Parts: sequence; C-alpha cells; structure tokens
Amino acid sequence: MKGVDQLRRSDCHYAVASGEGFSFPEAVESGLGMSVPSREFDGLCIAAFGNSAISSQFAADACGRSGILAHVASEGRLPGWAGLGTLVLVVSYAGRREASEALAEAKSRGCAVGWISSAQIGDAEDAVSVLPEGLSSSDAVGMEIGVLSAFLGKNGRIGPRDEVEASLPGLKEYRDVLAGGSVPVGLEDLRGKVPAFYALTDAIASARSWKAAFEPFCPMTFFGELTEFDHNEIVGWCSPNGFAGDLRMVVLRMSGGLPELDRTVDCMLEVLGEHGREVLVIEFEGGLASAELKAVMLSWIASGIPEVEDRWQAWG
Amino acid sequence: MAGLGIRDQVHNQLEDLEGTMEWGSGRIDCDNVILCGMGGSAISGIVAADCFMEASPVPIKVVKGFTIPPWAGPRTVAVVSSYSGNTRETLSMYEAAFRQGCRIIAITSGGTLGRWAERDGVPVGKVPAGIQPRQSLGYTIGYISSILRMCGCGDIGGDVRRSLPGLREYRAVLESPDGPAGRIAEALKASVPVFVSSGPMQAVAFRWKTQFNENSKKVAFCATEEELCGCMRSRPEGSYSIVHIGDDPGVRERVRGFTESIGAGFVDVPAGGSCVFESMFRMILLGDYASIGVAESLGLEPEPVIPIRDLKGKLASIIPPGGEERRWAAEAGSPNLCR
Repeated sequence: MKGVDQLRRSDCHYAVASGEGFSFPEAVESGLGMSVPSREFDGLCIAAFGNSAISSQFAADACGRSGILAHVASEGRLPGWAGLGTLVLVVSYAGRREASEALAEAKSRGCAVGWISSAQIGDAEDAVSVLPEGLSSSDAVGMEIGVLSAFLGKNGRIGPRDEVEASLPGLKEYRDVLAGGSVPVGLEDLRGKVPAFYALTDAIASARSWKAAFEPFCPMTFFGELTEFDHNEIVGWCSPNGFAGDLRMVVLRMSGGLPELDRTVDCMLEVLGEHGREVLVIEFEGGLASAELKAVMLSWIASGIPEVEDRWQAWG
Repeated sequence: MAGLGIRDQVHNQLEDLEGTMEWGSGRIDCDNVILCGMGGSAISGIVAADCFMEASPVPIKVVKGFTIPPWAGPRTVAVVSSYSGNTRETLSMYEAAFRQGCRIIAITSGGTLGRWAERDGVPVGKVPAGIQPRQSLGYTIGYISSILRMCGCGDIGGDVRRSLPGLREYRAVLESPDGPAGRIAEALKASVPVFVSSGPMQAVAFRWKTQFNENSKKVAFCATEEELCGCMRSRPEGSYSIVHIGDDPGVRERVRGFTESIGAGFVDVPAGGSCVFESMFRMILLGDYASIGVAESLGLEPEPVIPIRDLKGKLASIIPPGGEERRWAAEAGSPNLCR
C-alpha cells in the first residue's frame, strides 16, 4: 500500500510513512478501483463485525442519502423481511466466526449473499471482494468503504460511489494538512481517559470510528448521536459526575446542511458550557460524506499521535 | 394526570400500554414504516421496533433528526411522535413526511404537532398531558404496536396480554422497599453506569442509559458486549459500574471478565420473562425505578431536566416551535391520510 511519502524534515512534524490513518485516502481509492461482481437485489441488508461496522455504517448512511433503504444488522440479527430478493452483505475484515454464521443464516432464508473479508468466510462464488491480509485498521476500513461504494455503484446504486469519489481530493488535501502538523490540539490527552464521541445520526460511522480508534489506549470508549443527545444525555453531562473525573466529551462537528441543525448544536454547546462541562469540538468541513470521511481518517491519525511523535524524535 | 409523581407515572405505564394496544383497526397497505421521534418518543419506537424486527415482513426504521430518508414516500407509513408536540426535529420530520407523500400518523399530547395533524386530517394517537415525556412509554408503545399490526408487521398483542399479569406482579416486587430496584440503585449511586446487553435487550440498555441520565442526573452509557470488551484492559481513574442486562450466560461471563480486568463494579441483572416482550418490559420497569432510586438516594429530584429546559429556551428564542409552519392544505383523499 503506497502511502504518503516521508516529507522533508523541515516540512513535516510527523513521520508519516507508516503512521496509522495517513494512507486512508489511498485505501479508499484502492477499494473503489477493485473489481466487484454484479448482483440483482431489491432489499439490502449489511451485517458487519468488528471495525467493519464503521465502513458498513458509512455505506448504509450513504445509501440512505441516496434514497436506498439499507438495513444494518447489529450483531448479525437479520430482520424478518430479509428473504428472497434481499441481498445480505457480510463484512468482516478479520473473518470472524459470527460472519460465517450470518452468511449461513441468510442463505437458509433464501437471501442472496455477498461477503467482504481478508479471510475465506464464505463460498468463493459469493465473494464481493477478498481484501489483502495485513492491512492496518484504518486501511482496512478505508478499503472496505471503497469496495462497498464500488459494489453499490456497479449494481445501479451510484449515489454512494459518487459521494466517495467526489470526496477523495479533499480527503487527500486534508491528510496532507494533517501530515504537516495541523492536528487539532488536545487529542493526545484523551489517552487513558474515558472519552465519548458524538456525531450527527447521519454521520454516526465517524463517532464509531473514533471510539474504535481510541479503544487500544483507553479503559473504555463510547459513542453517541446528535441531536438525540439533547433529549436525554445532556442532563447527565451537565452534572458534576465528581466520581468520574476522567470522562471526556468530544463532538465531531459537521454541517448537515440544515441551519436549524447547526443552531441546535450551537445551543447545546452553550448549555454544556454554562453547566461547567468542557467539550472538545473538532470541526470538519465539506458535505456530510466528505466531512464524515475526514473524521474517520482523523480518528486513526489522532489516536496514534504519540507513536508518531516518538518516531519523529527517534529520527532526530 | 396533573400532579402525578414520577413513581406513579412509572407505575401507570402498564395500564397505559393496555389502554392503547387495541387502537385502530383494519389494514394499511404499505412497503415500509418509519418511526420518527426524539428522546422519550424515540425510545418507544426503538423498543417497539426491536420487538417486531426479527419477524416483521415489512421494514421498520427508527428515524431521529431533522429529516427523513429520501426513500420514504407514498408507500411509507410515517409514525411521527412527540409527547409535547413541539419537538423541533419531529416537526421537521412531519413536514418532510408530508412533502414526500408519506401516510402519516401522529402520537402526541397536543402542541404544534397536534394542531398540524388536526389541520391536515392526520390520525392522532392522543396521549394525556401532565406527565414526563419519558414516562409516556406505555401509551406510545401501545400506539406504535397497534400501528405496526395494521401495517402487517406482526402482532404482539397476544404476548402483551399474556405478559400483563406477570408484569403487574413484578411491578409490585419492584415497588417494595427492599426490592431489586433499591439494591441496584445502591450499587450504582456512586459510579458511572455502563449498561451492556445483546439482542433485543439493546433497546432496554438504551432506555436505562437515558433514564439514568435524566432521572439520576448522571452520565450513563450503553454498549453491546463487542463494543465494550474491545477496549484496553486497564483500570479507569474514575468509578464505573458495568451492568449486564439479560439472560445470556456467555455474554454475562465475558462481560464479567472484562469488568474484573478493569477493576470496575459488576452488576448482573437477569431479565426473566416468558417472551421477548415481557423480558423487555420487566427490565424497562426495573430501570425506571432504579434510576429514580439513585436520584432519591443522592437527594435529587428525579423529574426536572433543567439542561433540556435551558436548551429549549435558547432554541425558542431563535425560532418558536411551529413558527416556520408551511402551508399544507388538507385535501380529501390525501395520500397523507391513513384510513
């Protein structure tokens, strides 16, 4: 996987050749360029496991924006309507046992099936894409996003693919800015704490990505939705919670394109501030799909900042 | 309803449910159903959708936010639920549903949603005023279940009727001074709770999260086993309790193992019950009472939700609810009417 080449020392604050997340755009691009099969289907159901839930949620959200009903099967629980005419896509980069079980269940119901993995989780004829082994977490997620988008586009659902293709130039540009040292401050302080990441419901894959990216570095991580937060969780976060001083709240701020949504988030942050709650807000520019991809990429870069800095120091 | 304390509101949820389970009759021919709501109204949709999901031949999607999916149209039944009738996101979803030609059914105590529904000839499942939105769960689950039955999603009425006697007995246990609600409240009052579950109980864990935030005034989270147990196994600085809700022994033991590895408190809450619906509602009642118990043990009033009030005040000063009403003429035979 060709990532961003190591930049001149004078131009670069972070060693980028192997930093987690920095080759995410190229991973997405590779996925988009992969050969994918044609399938006929009416209904679409995506069952994903592990970090593949991030890419699958992104694809499902993109489907929704494009007018395609796509169900995300949490824990592999297929809906009652999944049957003849339904395509069940199972995504598991690592090749979890539950993924194979979900495929078998789908087949038993007469569903058409497809799978995406680095392992042989199903019959070869049902593979949508066999991914390379040994990818980093961020590259695996990126490649899955690309493959899912390509597959949907190949089969007449072009909206998601178009969104991802259009986002790539901006994503690479954003990556280059990050590689130059312009990473939002405060992210390295999340390590060892208990952070909760919040994003818009229609971009929830990004919050899920941040939760996953920080899992290796925190005792627990959580994610949640805006603006649902305003109707319940805001009460808890406005309280002192004195016995849990390690709680951290992070808002991944993107524009949903609706002024009332932006105003609601503004007012939410004001209320939290008035009740003494500090919130780390990270803004992402662009349309929702573009902003969400940037947020996913930054989650992996941000979680790996200390290691990148160590490498940079080691190079003297 | 005026003057009912929150414990009474929790108590009445079974009777509220029983009173709305048989609402409406006939069949609504549709391709899919969207359940539109926020907060307490959304939870009813989440719980109901989970009860029906694995058997329903009709797709059911819970929608939260300012818009509805572009694929929703004339063959979609949009259940638009807002207890107050003034929730901004829900009003926006109502407008979108109207614009996209969905068949709308409203659930509300009145407010702007009630006015719009009356103006547009939209059927309304009426909820009485004077209770906390989060405690209107019984009414709204009953209405939503009736609507899903009419839409061909299945019928849980039999399960509900068979469960009610057992649920009433369980409620009496929960209301006793030394019942499980009190013990759970005691175990959780000085920590941040994390509610962990699998399968249909995920909706219940979500309910517990919101109830502990609103009633107990503390941060609370919910997660599946996979979401929780993938984290680094180190001791957090703060005080946390992991609460397993459900009856799966494998999940229980894995969650217990994770909890021990991080030095957090572990609370196991077996659901019991003779069917999925009964298990879920047993746990809903338990969570409601336990969250109130935590508030009372900390000397807090469970009912007021001041930050939500503050937020609504800020938003009202910008645009009043319904202040951006569109003009929709109610027409006889409109596709927006569910007959």
